[in-house]
Amino acid sequence: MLASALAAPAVARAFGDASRFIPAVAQHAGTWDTRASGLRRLAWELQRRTSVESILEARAVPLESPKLFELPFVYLSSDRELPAFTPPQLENLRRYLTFGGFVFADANDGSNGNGFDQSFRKLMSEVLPQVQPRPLPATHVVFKTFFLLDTAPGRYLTSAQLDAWTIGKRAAVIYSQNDVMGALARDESGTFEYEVTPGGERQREYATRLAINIAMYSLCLDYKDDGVHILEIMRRRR
Amino acid sequence: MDSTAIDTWKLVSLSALPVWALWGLGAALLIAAVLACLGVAREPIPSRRWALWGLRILAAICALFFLIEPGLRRVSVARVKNRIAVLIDRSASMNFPTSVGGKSRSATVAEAVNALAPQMEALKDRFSFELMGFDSELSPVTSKQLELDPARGGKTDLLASLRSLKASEGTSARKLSGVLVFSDGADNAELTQGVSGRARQVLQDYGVPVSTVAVGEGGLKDLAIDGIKVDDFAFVRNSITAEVEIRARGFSGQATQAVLKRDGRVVATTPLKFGSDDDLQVAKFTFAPDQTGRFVYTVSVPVFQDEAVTENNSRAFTLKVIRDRVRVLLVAGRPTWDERFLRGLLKQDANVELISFYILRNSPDDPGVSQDELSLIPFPRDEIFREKVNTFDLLAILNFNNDDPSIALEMYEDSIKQYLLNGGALAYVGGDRTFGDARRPRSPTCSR
Repeated sequence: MLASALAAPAVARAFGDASRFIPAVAQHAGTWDTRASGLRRLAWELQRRTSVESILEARAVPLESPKLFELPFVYLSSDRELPAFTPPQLENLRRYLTFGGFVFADANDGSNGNGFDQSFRKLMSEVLPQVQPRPLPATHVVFKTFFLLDTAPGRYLTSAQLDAWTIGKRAAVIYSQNDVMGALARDESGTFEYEVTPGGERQREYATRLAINIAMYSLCLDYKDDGVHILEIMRRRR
Repeated sequence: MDSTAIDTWKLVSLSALPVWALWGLGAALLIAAVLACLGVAREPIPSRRWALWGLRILAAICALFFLIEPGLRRVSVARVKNRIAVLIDRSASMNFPTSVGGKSRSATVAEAVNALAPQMEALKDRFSFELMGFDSELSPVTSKQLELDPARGGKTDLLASLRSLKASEGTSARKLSGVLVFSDGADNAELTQGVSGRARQVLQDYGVPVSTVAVGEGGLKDLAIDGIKVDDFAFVRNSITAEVEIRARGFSGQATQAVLKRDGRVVATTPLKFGSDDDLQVAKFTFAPDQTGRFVYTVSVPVFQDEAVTENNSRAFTLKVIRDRVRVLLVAGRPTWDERFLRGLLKQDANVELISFYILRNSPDDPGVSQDELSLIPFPRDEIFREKVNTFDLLAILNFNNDDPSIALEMYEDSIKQYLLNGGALAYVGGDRTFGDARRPRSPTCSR
């Protein structure tokens, strides 16, 4: 009785993690988990710099699992060519994207026309055969969801642009060939795992901002395109 | 038919032969008669000779009779009087006084018509005078009606009246010989710009002399709201423009203003300056009604001294203000998937006008960059909750942290309370920032 009386009352929280930002990573048959630390860093940066509450651990989810639909943000990557996806995976991913899910795809190998790049584009042609990828223009809202950006770097600068597969007005898949999470990844000692080329630490900072913007886009979509923001953003971009 | 008929008789030929044939045959008969008479000239006995001449001439005359078939035609001639139409302007402007403080223009015309009555009576065997009033139509009128009945016509269309008059000619007994027009000249149809162009051509082709008598002095001063053009309804909080035609007579160089009011409260004003003694200005009032319902708006111009008519210095119109779309304010304490869904749901509804704000950064958050590198804007609390709160149909406040003084809404409690009392709706949705600790939230109006 004394022990229970002495015990400090715990704060009861009725709200679970569902409303928080959870950096989910898609499990597939290839190397899918090379950037877990980058995702942890993204969640931490998101929580530190913005009002978003995050889960600070990446959560793996099989692509064919119904649990995919509980995770509105999914990171899909590999450091090599993607394996062929099974029909249930393709179907699940298609439904996920159609019903509002968001995928951030990231070429960890910085490939262009081969490796992850080639295989991912082929994958998307099977998942969303009627949607063509389009480069996101500099005016797209993803470049102003939190930070004002005019570049889309990662660990590399393989491509200056982001590509997107858009359903309606919503970019359901945003794809970077520049290994964005590679710029955020740290090893166990806390040191950044990879060098960022060619821009060094300044490029790493911009890659971090881009990752935050992409996460914000998944949460807010085109909120920053509302008229109330336009004048102020235009003034700052001058 | 006002005529006296006279019968006359006339000798005519009933023969069906053409005139030239008759002349030819007549000439032939004459030659035959002459030759016949010459043939008898050798008759020795004079009495017999004369008798034969007489018989031959009689035969020629009878032949001529049978040839030309003479007859008598009875012609009845009726004398028709000249028809003079006296047209009297019956438009509302004829109620104006002829001079300041004087009798109305209609009454003045009635006096003139009465004064002309003896002369018309003296000419009645040759002329018939028809008194008709005109505004947009013709109708018979008497001088008594001119004195007693106020003119009510909304339009003066002289050319249309003249056309109607011409069309009523019908048979020759109704043929028009002349028109006498009494008017103040304020035509607002085809002659608005004067007798020129097509109007001049119409009058030239009329074929009947038209004489005019101008009624009223030219120096009258009057400022009048001539007309208002505005839609029957407007959408709340959407701009609408009312165009008001203001006519100024005798106000050359005068500056003034037109005022639009609702319930005695000024809604808009427009400055006016008149350039001539007969000037028409169009004042435009653009305003956005802020409430739904049916409202009476009044447009007015000042009443100046010596104005002939003061009742026309203001005019009212009714405007029905209806809801356009439901206007929703969505304020989220932080971005979450729930708010994303709700915002998307509201945004795709065509009946909803959504204004949304996410608090993307709280005081403790450190973006690590200068403000210029952020797309963030200050949360316009004052503007929304003090000035514009009543423009929303619904306030939806989601997971809002009132402990943060930089965004707290407590200072707007009175404004929100009044908004609710005025019929506004509030949806206050909790979350980990509001109800997460299971404590009573410090939220607007909740403690009330």
